[in-house]
Amino acid sequence: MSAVSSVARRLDGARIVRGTTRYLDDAVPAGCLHVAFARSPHAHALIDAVDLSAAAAAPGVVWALSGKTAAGLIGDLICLLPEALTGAGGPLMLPCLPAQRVRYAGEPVAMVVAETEDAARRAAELVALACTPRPPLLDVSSATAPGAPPQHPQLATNVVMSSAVRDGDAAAALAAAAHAVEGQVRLGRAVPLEPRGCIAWWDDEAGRLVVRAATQQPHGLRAELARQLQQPESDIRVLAPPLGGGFGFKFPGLPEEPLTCLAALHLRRPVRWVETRAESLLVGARDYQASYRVGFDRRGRVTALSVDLDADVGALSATPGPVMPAVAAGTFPGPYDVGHVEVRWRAVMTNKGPWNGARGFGKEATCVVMEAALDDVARVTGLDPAEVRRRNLLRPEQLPHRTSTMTLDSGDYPRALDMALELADYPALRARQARQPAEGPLRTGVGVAVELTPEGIDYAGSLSRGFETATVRLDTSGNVVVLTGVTSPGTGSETAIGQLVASRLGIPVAAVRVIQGDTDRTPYGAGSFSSRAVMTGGTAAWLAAGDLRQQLVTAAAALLGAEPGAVEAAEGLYYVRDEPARAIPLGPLVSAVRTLGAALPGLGGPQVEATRTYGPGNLQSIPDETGRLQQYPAYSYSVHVAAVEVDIETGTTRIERLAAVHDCGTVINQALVDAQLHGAVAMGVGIALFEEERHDGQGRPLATDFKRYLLPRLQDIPELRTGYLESPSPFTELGTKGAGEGGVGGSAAAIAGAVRDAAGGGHLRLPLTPERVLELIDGYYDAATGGAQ
Amino acid sequence: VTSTSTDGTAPAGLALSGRPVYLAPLDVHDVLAILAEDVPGTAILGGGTVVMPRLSTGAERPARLLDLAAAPGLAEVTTADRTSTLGATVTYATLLERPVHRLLTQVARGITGGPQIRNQGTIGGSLCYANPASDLPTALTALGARVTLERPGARRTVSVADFVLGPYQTALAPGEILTAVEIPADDARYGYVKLKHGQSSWPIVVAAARISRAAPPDTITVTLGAAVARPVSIEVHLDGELGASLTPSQATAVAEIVRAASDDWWADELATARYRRRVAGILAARAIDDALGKERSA
Repeated sequence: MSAVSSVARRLDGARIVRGTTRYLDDAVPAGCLHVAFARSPHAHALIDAVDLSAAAAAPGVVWALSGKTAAGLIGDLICLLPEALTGAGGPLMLPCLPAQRVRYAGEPVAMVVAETEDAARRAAELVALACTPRPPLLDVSSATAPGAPPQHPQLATNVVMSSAVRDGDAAAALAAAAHAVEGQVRLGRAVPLEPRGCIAWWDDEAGRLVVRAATQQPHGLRAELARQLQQPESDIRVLAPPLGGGFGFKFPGLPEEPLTCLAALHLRRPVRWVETRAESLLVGARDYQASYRVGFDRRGRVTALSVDLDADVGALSATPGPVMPAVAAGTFPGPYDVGHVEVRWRAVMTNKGPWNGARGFGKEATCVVMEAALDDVARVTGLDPAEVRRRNLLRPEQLPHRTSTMTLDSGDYPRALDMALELADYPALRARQARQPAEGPLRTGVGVAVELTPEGIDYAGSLSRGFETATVRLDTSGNVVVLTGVTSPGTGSETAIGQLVASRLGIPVAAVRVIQGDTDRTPYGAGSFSSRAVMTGGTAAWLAAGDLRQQLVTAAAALLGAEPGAVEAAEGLYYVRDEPARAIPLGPLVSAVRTLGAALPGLGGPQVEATRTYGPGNLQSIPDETGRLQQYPAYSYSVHVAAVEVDIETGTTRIERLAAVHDCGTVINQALVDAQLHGAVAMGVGIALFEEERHDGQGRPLATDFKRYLLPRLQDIPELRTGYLESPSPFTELGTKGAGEGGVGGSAAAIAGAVRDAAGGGHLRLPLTPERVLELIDGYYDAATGGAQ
Repeated sequence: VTSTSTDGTAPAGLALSGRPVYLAPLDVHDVLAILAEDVPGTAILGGGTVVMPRLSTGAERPARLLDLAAAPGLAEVTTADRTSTLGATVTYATLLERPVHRLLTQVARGITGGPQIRNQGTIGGSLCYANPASDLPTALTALGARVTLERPGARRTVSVADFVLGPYQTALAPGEILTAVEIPADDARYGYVKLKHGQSSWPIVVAAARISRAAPPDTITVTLGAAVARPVSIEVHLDGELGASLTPSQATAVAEIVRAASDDWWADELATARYRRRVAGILAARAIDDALGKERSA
């Protein structure tokens, strides 16, 4: 693979730099109608009636629809949750517009379609919702209290899923452990970065629906639209324009896309829906609370871990979002060798907005909890936190390592730890910390975290599968077109796929055209998620290109009068080894195959395109006879060391330095992997210090824009020092593991650990806002002074 | 009146398109004349950093937009009789390019949001918005600045301290507009600090310290903002000499005085009143240190 590993420039780079990328809203068809949704001001209410008359009569309005009137026109959304975990005895259904119960403040209760966006929004304000407000359930404890009204008619309680992940006997091992410590961790509710939207129109000539949607899963969206709109799948074309970020928040499963398509079908006119920032911030993720108990010996070896993990998944959605707590539970105990583990988890419905996926997909929560527990072990034993990690990490010779939910594939975790400590100049940081004066407001804190990032999910039973199909097509210009079902949410996956194909065919990357995001042109594929674009889509294209190469070599040998074994390819030229004058460029070679294939003896068949399907190994996608389920084939990991400076008077944190060492197996393009890691750390900074969607006592979201939901800016991101290891997976064709998520949880955990280090301990509640940091510090000084402050 | 309108004024057209009538008068006289028309729902645009986002989200739907950008007289900076006069549409960028007072330069330097905000945001807009979580009302109160308020045939001046009445409330009368800010020359020592929760945060606490040279022994006034509903000036008397920085016991004394100085602590989506009260005194002490430290390095 060394021929591939390079820093090829992004195929979409010029478009991005020159501002010629056409995002969804950059191309609005003439005569387009606009959708606005009337949204409930109440977080929880029983609907008496939705009166559309004033809205329908407003200027410019062409159609208005309520839950009642929509019911016969559009199919329900279907939740993706396994019946074995919900206990519902069938898939959970959700109407696109509610007719009975409002489940969160901001839930759409009516759709208005009008000639302009402004007219639609004004008319939506005229929709009269007559309802009986109920007390909102705004956290796990109120939603699970006896008598709490269940928020879904197919469920008896608000626990939509619950289960336990077990290895060994954690209870017995905890009882037998020399030491045990308890702790708690909470993560703030995260929200999307770019609004969703779609534009749908009826193609009268073809007699079919065309949808341009800001989506991570064009094929999956098409299948769901076909079912909900009762149109044949082949009569719908979904186009996915470039995204300004996916991060999991652009999975299908929310009602606005199908309703917009319904309007286009019904009205036979183009219809556009693009949500506002405030609407975009209604969707959430990552709202976890965990209690843990860790047992260990005096040498700091962890023998047992017991975790209760609750996820507040808000109003139930049909996106993959509510699945995340299952992934979080299944990722324990991360990269560590812990014999006895039990993780009891629940996904609980409340009256907050629905979840969609969020980068990290639960694994970030695992990492933050696991690392908090290891910091506790260090505190109790008096060992250095890095040493505690070293004593508990799986060693390379223990890999592959099997748990009840994972088979960790390859890597050298202790070496990555050593590299990260060296990059961070860890001994110097600790020495400085030991020397710091007792007076003055600034305290140095240092945190260490090791994140395991299972990647490439195969979610059997849904359209989010782990395999991909790719077609590679040669042309007489010597160019190559790759048709792939994976999309690029801005990550640049097309460049890496192009590199793989180019290296296989011996052509420059610039001669490759990668086509994504069009259900008419691309093969079936699951889209962009779980760091799988290159591992699956790239490998399928690599295999297809390999088939073509074989054919081209045969043809070139016939034309050049050489043995096939003597033919090589480079820079678009097929030539005889050691005789570069005997050569034929790819264009004429393809011409020859197309015009003379199967006719001229020795040339081979006339085929100049190939299609291959690829999925990685190392999966147990449906439970085996013992019930074991393993949905992830590849296990990237990263080690993070953070140094912070905490102002103990104001609670303000400045991240001084962050070192990260990342191993995602075989690297195809180092620059793209770098970019992913840098972005992941930025997101980790947000999780650790800034990002949180909160609600008032009535369940109304407080963060309606990015002045109230704080994202880190460039100046908030620390100096990054990065390093890489490359441990190929034995279970994937090219050894790749996926680079898109690694570092989100690890950087958050390291920063949180560093703040906790500076503050002296305490329960972690992320984000660590200055106010929460002061609470940590107060707890520390309370304890230090015997309770007096 | 010279005005431009980007949209028809027919009521039906307005209702459907929802666009306000856009007015951009070329001088102050016309601005005042338009305001005298007393049409309800006229939003005044300084730099637009507050109004324009509110229009985008639909939080505000004025019938008319009165843009001051085309009235050049309002963007001028003049100095006469030891008093600097800043027009209402003087921007943060202007404060950086044409230093009027070291404190204001320091404030302007701390404005985040990039050139877009520094080039667009105006001092008049910031004062009239009177958002507690902002810099200028506090800084201008600390400087003893006065504002000129005008309407046709009438002009008055009030101190900034009297102009800002509370959160988003000012002393502007109907039909009246803020046209200028006057800053008296002053040889006192000033310091300024700002506490934010990250770069994209608005101010949580701002504190300006003024140390008089004239009235011995050093008289210190701290003006506190963002932590309180409206800027509050607090006289601080300390035991002992003032050195290059406050002693720990002096800093503790400042913090205690400031914590006791208000019962109207501000709370918003980013910080509670409890937190602001706790840290306000610390910021006040740091503002004094900033003034003392600058003196030393000057």
